[in-house]
Amino acid sequence: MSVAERIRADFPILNQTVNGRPLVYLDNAATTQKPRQVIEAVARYYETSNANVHRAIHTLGERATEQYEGARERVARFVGARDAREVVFTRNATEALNLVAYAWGLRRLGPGDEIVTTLMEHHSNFVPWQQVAEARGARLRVAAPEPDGTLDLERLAGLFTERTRLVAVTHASNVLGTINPVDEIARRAHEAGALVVVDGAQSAPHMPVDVAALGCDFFAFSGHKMLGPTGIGVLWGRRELLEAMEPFLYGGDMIAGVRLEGADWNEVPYKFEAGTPNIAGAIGLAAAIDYLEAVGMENVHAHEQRLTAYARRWLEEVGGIEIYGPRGERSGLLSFNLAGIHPHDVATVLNEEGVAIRAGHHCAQPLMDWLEVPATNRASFYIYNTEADVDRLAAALVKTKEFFGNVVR
Amino acid sequence: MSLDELYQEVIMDHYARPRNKGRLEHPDIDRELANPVCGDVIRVQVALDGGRVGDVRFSGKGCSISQASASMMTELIKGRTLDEARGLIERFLAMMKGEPGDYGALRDLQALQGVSRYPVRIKCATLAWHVLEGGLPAAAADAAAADAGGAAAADAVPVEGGGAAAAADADGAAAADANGATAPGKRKIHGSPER
Ligand SMILES: Cc1ncc(COP(=O)(O)O)c(C=O)c1O
Repeated sequence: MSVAERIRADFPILNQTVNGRPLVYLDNAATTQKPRQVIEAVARYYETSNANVHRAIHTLGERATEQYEGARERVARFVGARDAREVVFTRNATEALNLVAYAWGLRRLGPGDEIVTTLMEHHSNFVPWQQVAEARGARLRVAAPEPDGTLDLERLAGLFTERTRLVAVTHASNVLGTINPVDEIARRAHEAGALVVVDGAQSAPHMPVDVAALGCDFFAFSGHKMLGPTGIGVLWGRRELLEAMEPFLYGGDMIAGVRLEGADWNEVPYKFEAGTPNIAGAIGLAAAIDYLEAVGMENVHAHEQRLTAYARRWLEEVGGIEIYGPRGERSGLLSFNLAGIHPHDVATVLNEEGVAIRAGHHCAQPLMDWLEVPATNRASFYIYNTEADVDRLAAALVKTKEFFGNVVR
Repeated sequence: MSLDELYQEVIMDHYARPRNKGRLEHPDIDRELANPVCGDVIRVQVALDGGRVGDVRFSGKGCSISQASASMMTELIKGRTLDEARGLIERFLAMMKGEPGDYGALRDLQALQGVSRYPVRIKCATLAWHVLEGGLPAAAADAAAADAGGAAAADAVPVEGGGAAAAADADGAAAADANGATAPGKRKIHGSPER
């Protein structure tokens, strides 16, 4: 068995037909499939250790707590955090970014302050800042990419002023595939006295990430996009910042003591984890990280680079296809449009062929407006995809062109 | 279901050669909505003529299903009374919900029946109808108010640096939210030639 075949064998869901054809799953930027190892880790937790964490004085409670906190340490090592207390479990990247917006943005920003972000953000790293700016009378400044889909560091840094308090930027674009130079952006932002929040939803699953090397202040990502369960996400934040922040949600577990007159907060990260957390989700995420690190994040990245380059050659060969985003180093996805054929129609034909891609605005409408398209197709790859999958994609695109060929305007 | 059943000839024909596509100079009803799934925007304009749909146009980009549905809708409602138009909207939406019944009144639009089996595509087919539906009662109540059509005055956030950046702009009538479709508010309809 080749490496790819061995990996595919771990993903039961891939072994099925859709509309009579073997499934080709190319919607990994939306969510990834789960290997048996993750599914079993979640099942094993429920079968052997399920209890509430942090409070119970009984064996199951201790076991559950140990596994949940073990998952936190696993995540901390995965992103290069110096301290597991810097890892806050959330529902997803969106909640992690909102946590920063509520617990830091709404409380620390005032009239005239400035937030700098980019036009290639997913709505979840754009709308929270738009809302915070509106609520606090702050100013949102938006940097557009260069025509090739990259960010120009000087142009971005040119927006930094002494009023800039926060820079919110995505590490990897979910539409363009651009990988942004977060380390340099962070250095420039810090020189300007601003904090840096990074949306890592499309980077942490696909390449080695080290928050210390990136030099950012907050880093958010989702477990479900990296082989883990849905409903578990992570906010990594610098400890001194997290400690100085007020809670985001109030209730159980986040409290040190409650009196009639008031309450004191638990220490970080518990201060930010009100209520019973997604224990099984965190344990599943740790199993996903084990799986990814056994493959090796460098290998994951290299595999996707190869597949993306291969797919680009195929799409160019098919012809009549516009591909968006930079040519060089990029994350493992391709957004494209077939001349005269709406992405919805493309995705419907592809689905008939058993090929799952995404068609839509990918929660990046400001970027769609900039590209001057209502929507795009997006094929996104992961460790279990092969060149044979790309061949099937290309064949289905040829079929789409034939089918709509007579009506293309 | 095969692709040929979904994309029937009449659908492809309306997609390739949309009827009543364009703009009216003095519409009594002028409204647009976005499909929240894909961001497609459809605008429908109606000029009334003694309680009837005198003239009607649609504009905006979309997939074959949304464009064909809008095109066939404009043909079907032209010349109808507003009550008849409401009845046809009701029939069409029922067909899209997969409700059994006689849809003869919808004529060519019956070709879209198969879409009801593609849950994500239903919103494509119903978009133009929801735009029209939301426009009609206001028109009946007060035609003058309908064409006042105040645009949502949104402060455009300037986009800085980079290539030819399109700032969000406030364009188009502010539409009330209806039936799961979102009012575009600050969205812009691109006036450039459609591809
Ligand atoms: C770049 C980026 N940021 C944020 C998100 C939001 O992720 P989630 O929906 O898991 O919160 C996504 C997922 O679509 C994404 O691609």
